[in-house]
Amino acid sequence: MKIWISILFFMMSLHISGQSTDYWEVNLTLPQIALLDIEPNNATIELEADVPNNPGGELNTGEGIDNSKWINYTSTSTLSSPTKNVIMEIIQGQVPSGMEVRVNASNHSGSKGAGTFGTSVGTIILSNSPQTIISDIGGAYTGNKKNNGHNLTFSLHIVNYELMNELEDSNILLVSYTLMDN
Amino acid sequence: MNKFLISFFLVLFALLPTKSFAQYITISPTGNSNIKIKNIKEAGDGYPNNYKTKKVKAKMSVTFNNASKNQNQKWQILISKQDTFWDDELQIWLKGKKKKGVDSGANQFKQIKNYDIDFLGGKGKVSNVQLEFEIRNISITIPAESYSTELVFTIIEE
Repeated sequence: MKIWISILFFMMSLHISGQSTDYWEVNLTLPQIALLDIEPNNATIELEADVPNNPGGELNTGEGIDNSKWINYTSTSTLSSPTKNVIMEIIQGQVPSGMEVRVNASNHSGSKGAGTFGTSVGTIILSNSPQTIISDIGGAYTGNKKNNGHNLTFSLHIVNYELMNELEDSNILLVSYTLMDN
Repeated sequence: MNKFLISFFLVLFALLPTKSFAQYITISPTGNSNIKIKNIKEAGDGYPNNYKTKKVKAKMSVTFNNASKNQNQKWQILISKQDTFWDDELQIWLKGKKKKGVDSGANQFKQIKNYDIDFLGGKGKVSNVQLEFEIRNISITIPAESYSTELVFTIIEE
């Protein structure tokens, strides 16, 4: 008898809790983004080795420094490729013999931007081979225009007077910057 | 024993038809359900502050098998989501527009969670209640992937 009563209540409960469900599918694709530019512009910068201040003195590279350029980027991550790097290389021209052009990228600065910014690898010597200048950029945007992002400091250095050649007195270097997956 | 069996089946047959007097909810998406994301054109820029997608729309109907409930049967709709692949930072906000028969919860966006919350309440049969959702909190910091979830509408009689 108890069993029948239990079954009866079960049936009644089914009746009371009758309900219906429907579904609405939501699909969203967030696009992959990898944008990089140089601010305030990509105009040529000049690094100059002036004549010595005194006869017999070293060539003066005090003018051979430029920190007017900034790297801005907007970069998304994916689960399979969570970080990107900024790669620099000389794609046209040669550094004069006996000299080096060094580049240092600061860590991110500026009031704008958010996310996982890249890390400066420190100073690199520019060459015709690609080198990482900023590493481990996650999903991030630096803020746009100068004074946002990573400040670049270029400097000219004399490393070997014997190799210097006065015929190579003016060299134009074309440098590329690439934001690429790790 | 046979008496019990006969009694049981009599009750069972009496109850089965009443069980089928159920209420039904139907969601019918309308228009373009593709969700477009704004293009970022300048390096250094993110999505605008408080960026949200355009609204995606559907129509909702509540019906009953039992015509006697078409007028005054009170009901409540619960809403939740079941994620196939989703990022917790992405917020889905849903709104149902006010219409005759919808007594509570209309005209206000509610954030959909992974558990049931009250969405709309009303009584009787209603049709073509406009629903719309938008996705908020979209950010560059969220991995660029394809996300998928399902909004689950459950109607219960009150």
